[in-house]
Amino acid sequence: MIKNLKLAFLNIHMNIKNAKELKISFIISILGMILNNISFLILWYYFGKSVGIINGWEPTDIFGLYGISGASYGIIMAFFAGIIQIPTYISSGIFDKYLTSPKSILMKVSTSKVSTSAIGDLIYGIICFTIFAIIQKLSIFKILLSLYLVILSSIIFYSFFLVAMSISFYLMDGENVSSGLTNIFVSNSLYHGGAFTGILRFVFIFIIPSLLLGTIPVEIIKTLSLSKFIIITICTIIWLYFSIKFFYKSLKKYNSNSLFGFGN
Amino acid sequence: MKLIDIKGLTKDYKYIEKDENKGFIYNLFNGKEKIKRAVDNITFSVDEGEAIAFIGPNGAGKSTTIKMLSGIIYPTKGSIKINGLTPIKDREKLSYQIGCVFGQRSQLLPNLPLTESMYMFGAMYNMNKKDIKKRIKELSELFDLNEFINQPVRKLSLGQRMRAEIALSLIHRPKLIFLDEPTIGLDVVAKKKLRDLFIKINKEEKITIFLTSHDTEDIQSICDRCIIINHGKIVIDEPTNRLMKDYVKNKTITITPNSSFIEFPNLLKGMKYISKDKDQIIIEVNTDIINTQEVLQFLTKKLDIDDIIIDNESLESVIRGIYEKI
Repeated sequence: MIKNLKLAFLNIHMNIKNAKELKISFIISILGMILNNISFLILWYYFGKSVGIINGWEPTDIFGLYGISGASYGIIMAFFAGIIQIPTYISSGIFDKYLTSPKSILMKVSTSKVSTSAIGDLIYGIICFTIFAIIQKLSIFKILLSLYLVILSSIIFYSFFLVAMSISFYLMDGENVSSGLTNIFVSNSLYHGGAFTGILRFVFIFIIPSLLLGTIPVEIIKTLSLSKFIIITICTIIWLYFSIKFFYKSLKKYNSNSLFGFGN
Repeated sequence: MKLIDIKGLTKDYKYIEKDENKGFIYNLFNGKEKIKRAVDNITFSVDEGEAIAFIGPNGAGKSTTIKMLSGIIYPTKGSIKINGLTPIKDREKLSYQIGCVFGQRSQLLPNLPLTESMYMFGAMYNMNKKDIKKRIKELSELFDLNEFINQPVRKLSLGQRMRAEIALSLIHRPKLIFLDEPTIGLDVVAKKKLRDLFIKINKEEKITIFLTSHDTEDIQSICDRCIIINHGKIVIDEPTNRLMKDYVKNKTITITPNSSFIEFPNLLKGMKYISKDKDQIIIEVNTDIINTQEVLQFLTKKLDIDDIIIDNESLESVIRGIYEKI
């Protein structure tokens, strides 16, 4: 376990070093993503401001939503971007090389790529959360709680992506299905939290856990709801366990292809 | 000592066959499951230190076999032991014993110098920094990497990159290396350099080589033994030099005249003209029917010869002949 973690850090370090070699594209992709996200934030902020409070959600809560979901998405996509490459690795046969290397296959695949633009998401998430913390005057306890929730949110991101991508082991053209599922998952995590009530809220918590990425964490920080805290913690454990099991079960279906590819 | 021991290895692929007479909706929910047997009950073993060519026409089952041996895919039936390990079950342990080079796929970090990839790979195999450094030095000397070891990998030529890939796959001192089309796309000089390296690692580092290639020069120069597979079954398993002896049935004789050829005598059974003109005659001889000594006696008696060249059939045409027959 320790050796696997050490190797994961080494992989991430080397991949960032590899990406940094192309300095201009490295910087542009980070800044580009921050700018892109700011435009969304402004849009949602003015939407919230014009409609006022919706189901307990204030306009400034958008900063908290984007802060937590942006940071957790940034962490996963920046350092574990290999998981979203799984369908491509499968269809191109690149997956072979992870099966012949020592250490955990999942760790090796997950840390096989970094996404430089996602570093922009991470920085943007930190900026948004800082604004949210200042506006809400968060106590040290609430800031520590937020860090815990960012970790849970990152795990849920990772787990859902892993399940969605592992579907490619069963389908010839799994890339489309996987990207469709992740789009539903990610886009619903970025909508105004007040919009989700009733059955919609149930679906996006327990079936497609989009609301666990930002909406529920923001509500926990604001209201210190114990029931929501327990729900998000249990859901995270279930998702992580289920996703890893599903990945290794799906791996047995792997039939290597013989297409050309280049990567690390 | 047996390094690879395979018994009754079989691999089936399932696929759904559409009914061409029915529409999309029908075929979406129906369809006949078919089975394609890619590898069919093969049994063989490889001793430590051998260099094996595992060849066959496209779709014969070579890559599927290599992938089962290296633990990439599950066999349907049969047993595989590599140095006592079962690839799928002992995948992690096995990875310390094998190296893999798949001609078209790179394991290198493209923007960084080769040394960085080597350090990363060494760490993956639990080697400490001192050991990795020592191994990089050994491999640099063996593979002549010093001229480009500090250049970003993406700046290397294909030949240099292949040398780098092979060196990388040997960082952990494996006992066995799987080479899948390692010389594909290389120029003749780079190919020769790579072949010499394979011979060197086989002889000096005692690494067992398991090679698939469509290039007969690779087979002839590197491998002592040749296994030919077709339709998933082993059809020939022989030492490479015996393959030449057993299957080379034709020789080509090129004759030039002292002045010029005027008459072209009728040939003996087992001999036939490939071309004939006043400046040169080319004859093909089937050595199953007539031996070379008789042929030479006949030709020297009938023709006014200045020079005579006898060529054996190339391994390429021997293998082509085998593929066409099986």
